[in-house]
Amino acid sequence: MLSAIVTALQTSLTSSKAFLFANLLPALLFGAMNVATAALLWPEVGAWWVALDTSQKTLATTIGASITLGLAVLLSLLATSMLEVLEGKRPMLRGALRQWMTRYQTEKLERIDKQLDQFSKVRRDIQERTDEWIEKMRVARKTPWTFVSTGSTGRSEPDPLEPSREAIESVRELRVTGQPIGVDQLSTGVQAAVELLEQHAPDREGAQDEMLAAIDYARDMNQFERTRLYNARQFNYPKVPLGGSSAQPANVLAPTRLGNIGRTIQSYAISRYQLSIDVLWTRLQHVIQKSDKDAALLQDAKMQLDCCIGAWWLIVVYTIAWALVLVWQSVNVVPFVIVWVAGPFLALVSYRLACERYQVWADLVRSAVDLFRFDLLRELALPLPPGIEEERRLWNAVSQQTGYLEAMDASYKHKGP
Amino acid sequence: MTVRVAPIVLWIVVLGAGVGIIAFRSHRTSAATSPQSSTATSNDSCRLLRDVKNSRTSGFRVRRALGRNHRLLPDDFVRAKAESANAAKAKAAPAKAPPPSGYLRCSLAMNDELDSSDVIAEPVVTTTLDRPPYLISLRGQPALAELLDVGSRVDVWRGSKPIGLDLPILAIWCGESGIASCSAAVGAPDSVWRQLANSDTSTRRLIVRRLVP
Repeated sequence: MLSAIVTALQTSLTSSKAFLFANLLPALLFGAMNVATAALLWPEVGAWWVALDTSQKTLATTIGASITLGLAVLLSLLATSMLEVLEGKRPMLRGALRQWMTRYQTEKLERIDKQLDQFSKVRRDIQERTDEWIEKMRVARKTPWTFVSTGSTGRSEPDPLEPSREAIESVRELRVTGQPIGVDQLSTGVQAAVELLEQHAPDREGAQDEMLAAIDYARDMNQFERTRLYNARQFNYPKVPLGGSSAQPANVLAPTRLGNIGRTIQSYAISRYQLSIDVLWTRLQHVIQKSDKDAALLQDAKMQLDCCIGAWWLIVVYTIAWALVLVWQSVNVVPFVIVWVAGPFLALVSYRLACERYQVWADLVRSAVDLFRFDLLRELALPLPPGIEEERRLWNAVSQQTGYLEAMDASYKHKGP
Repeated sequence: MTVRVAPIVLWIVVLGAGVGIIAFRSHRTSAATSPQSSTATSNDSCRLLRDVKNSRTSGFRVRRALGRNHRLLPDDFVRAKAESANAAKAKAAPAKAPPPSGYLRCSLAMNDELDSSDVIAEPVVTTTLDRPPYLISLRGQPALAELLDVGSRVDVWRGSKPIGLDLPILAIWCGESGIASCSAAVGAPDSVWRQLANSDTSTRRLIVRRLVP
């Protein structure tokens, strides 16, 4: 009877791929890890299992499967809450702890902003001085050759151009090893090339080419790093420095990394289109589902995120529970050390994976906002705006009207029969 | 303290506390329940427990460290030499007396002299709450009576199924009729104890997991 119920439940629940992957898989792994740990610590568990006859084993397996399935259902029900706790939305993170963690996030963001400012300054400096450097090398190249006697005594004299060559070599080393080159280093390198050119050194051509390549490289590298940092900022933090009317609750930092990634979605939609994704997400989902491929992509990304979040919670429960049991019962420190080292490590890995998956999911939602917002307007029987400013005003009005019951003035544009 | 450092500090504190608690309990448990003490300075050492005034040497030394409740066998002894510290008392013992039989009431280190007061007729098993003793007859495996000793560990099987794994031997008890009447007292957790006490008549066998060196 029990197995019939379990089979019916399994059939109805396991038909969903998302349930299988995001909830049942972590629950199964959790159950297996607990059984394995218990069997390793207490030989009686293995003896108990071996001592069971076939019918008892069937019953025990059925009970185990039911518990696992129940846990998977529980994970499925708590998925949103579990994510929200890690995002810092739930009141579990409050008071001094919340302030402390938010300060950390703010300081991280400020560090990125400072780095971005530095990269911008370097870019400006390189742009401003590039023409000057090229001109200096051009003029030096035209310097007439004059013989200067060094008054050689027959002994080997140090080459006076050697420091210049070393300066150019150090710039080259930075370039070929993919490191950023600063304005001062470029300036020193150009000066060294000028000296080689003025002295008509045999390697003057190579020196000039190297410095021209280094200037291009420094500009490209600066742009690459700026873009990377800007993307990291945009994908990880809600505040987008666009200026204008960006005073939005979505710009407030969350106390956790996961929370800030989540807030980038609302921040993006507001800063680009004045579209409140918090208010209109369900409606947008309805539109996205008309495109099977996009809906499947979104669902897969969310499923992977839920799997990582579920795994994180189960690893934390496993670690704390077994650490307490071992401290309470064990006379051997090794199992406790293994649990206390491996547990937090796995939790850290699953949290990082969750952050990566959340970034992917958030990016997909941002893309969906870009691609499906006009479809949503059509579904809402609203006229398509002619320009970006009109669109921003329209979305702002729709968001206010839908979410906060503020009246909007608009004429419907119904589809033809 | 930054958010990066605080969890690491917390993690180290919990790790240290956990290891400390477990190590403390381990030390206490081994001191309280260790059946095989190999040093003469342990808590149940015969040297500490003897009544010096009334001690009477048996004229034998032990070949190896022997734990409390060890069943004395002739191979455990060599005759003590006359120049030993207790030579005067040794003279009191009969020159060709057979080695004593019985059980040790305390532990002896290798080469310790056996005193008559160290020997008792029956083993005294100290019970612990988590592992009460259960007596298993060795009638079907008499060789184990000489192989096993206090501190050995065994698996108990009934038919083709294991009932208890890695159980400690608390004492090997033998009756008047020699080796065929021996039983092993094993320390068994509650769940195993109940299975051992089950009236199933299938053949029960012991499999040696670890012997005392």
